[in-house]
Amino acid sequence: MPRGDSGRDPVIIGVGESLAVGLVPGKSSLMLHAEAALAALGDAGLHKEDVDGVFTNESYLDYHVRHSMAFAEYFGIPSTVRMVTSIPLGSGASSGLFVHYAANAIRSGQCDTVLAVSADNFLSGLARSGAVKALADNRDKEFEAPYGPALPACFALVAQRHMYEYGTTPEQLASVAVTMRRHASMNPRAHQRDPITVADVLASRPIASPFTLLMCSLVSDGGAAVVVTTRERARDLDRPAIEILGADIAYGTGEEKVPLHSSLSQARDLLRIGTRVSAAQAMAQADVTHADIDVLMAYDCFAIMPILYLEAAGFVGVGEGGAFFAEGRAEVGGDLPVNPHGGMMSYAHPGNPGGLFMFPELVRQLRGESGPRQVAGAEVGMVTGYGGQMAFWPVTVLGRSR
Amino acid sequence: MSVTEPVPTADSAVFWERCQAGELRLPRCRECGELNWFPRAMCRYCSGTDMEWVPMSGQATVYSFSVVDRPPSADLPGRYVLALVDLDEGVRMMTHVVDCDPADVRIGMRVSVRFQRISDAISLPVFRPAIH
Repeated sequence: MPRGDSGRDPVIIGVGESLAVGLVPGKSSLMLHAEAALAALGDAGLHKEDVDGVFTNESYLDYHVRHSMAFAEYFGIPSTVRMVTSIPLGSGASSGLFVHYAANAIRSGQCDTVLAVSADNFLSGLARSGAVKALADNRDKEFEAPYGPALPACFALVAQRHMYEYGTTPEQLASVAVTMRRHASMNPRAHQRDPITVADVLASRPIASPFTLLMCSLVSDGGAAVVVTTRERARDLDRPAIEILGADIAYGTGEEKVPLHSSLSQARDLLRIGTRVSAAQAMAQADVTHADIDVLMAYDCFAIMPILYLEAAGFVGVGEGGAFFAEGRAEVGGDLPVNPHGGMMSYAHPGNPGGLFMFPELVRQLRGESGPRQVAGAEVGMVTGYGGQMAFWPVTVLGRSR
Repeated sequence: MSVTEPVPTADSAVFWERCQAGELRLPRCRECGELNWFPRAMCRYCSGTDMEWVPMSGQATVYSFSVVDRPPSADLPGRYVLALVDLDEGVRMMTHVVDCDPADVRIGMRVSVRFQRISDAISLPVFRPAIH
């Protein structure tokens, strides 16, 4: 993604979320979408009539063959829209893809203002057991699903291998959960806010070794939305524009001669993640170094994952990610704060939208609007996404206008 | 035991037939010599379509594992060891490690295949500790 000073450079002008996240009974999946969309447009000072591009994800609860059209109809998007599409393919990674594709749609001139929105009533609609079952069925039907690859167990395979190769400890994994909860305790909107200790995490119910319950992300209701427009248009709006400085995605390991995988058991190496490639690309586009990045938003579906991104993106050496969390260096006030909102482990994880919450939080951090959890002087931040079966690795670099 | 009973396809019917007979066979491409897993009629590496079903030794090494205490379905045992194992011939399979205390499973452990009959049509390959 080339970057210049063109009036067509894409910027994030509005972010929003559903009125509440966590347990939000009595609202449909599409209503949660609409709340988030309205909030993001309001934040931008725009109206739905200004939108000419709409991206949605998919809902586990409320399946539509053409989900984005169903949302556009529900929300009343005008027929002058020029692009309406769903990006369910990346599952968790769709939020990174949203911003990536929205930037391209704007740069190409196809759209001027793109609304990307994702929401679900994952908790109240599906119940925890239903969510667990839905996600386990989402494996290869013949060669994986018969073995009951519960989602936590799939990530546990990654964690166990990381422990074997690098000596990462259960205490270090627990410290990821403690960090997220400490951040959430400063966020009145977070789904889980009660502080926890490493001992609490280790003593919580065993789920899939080495993971205990508190090393797993939440099951929540809620939604988020992002409005992307041109730099030129943003000049007329009374909001600080946040620039999309770099956006890239790598698939699988991101390497030549390694066949792409879709199923977890087909991955060549569970620890060699494509973020290595996409983070380097996104940072090169943004013309920033590791030292320039003030905040990291990391798709923390399970405690091992933020450790992997830190290592793959090169913030720490391979095998050093666990210690980074255990030493408190990922906390607000530390060397590189990770997920100041509390992440998917403590803020909210309503399924596919979980990763999209990273963008509103980072935008607010870069605007300096984050109150007690504000990272002082934050100017540049990175979002490391995840999707599929260790298969999609989007990285986005955002920055305050310079 | 299964959440989902496999439904054989044109790509995999021979694999499941052989499992039912107590044999682990995988398709190998006669053109480039590569084993293909999952089974497929066109070689993933060279796009060749001349496949032969070759027997595996059934010996493997645990690449990673997790002791699952919260099964996603009531059809599954209350506690089981989900694993990825590397066959000696070089391909990686998802499976269960069985016939041992879950607490004894380790990465690098040697295991060998056995078949767990789950219906008249399907026997799943699972792995147990190798006998020294």
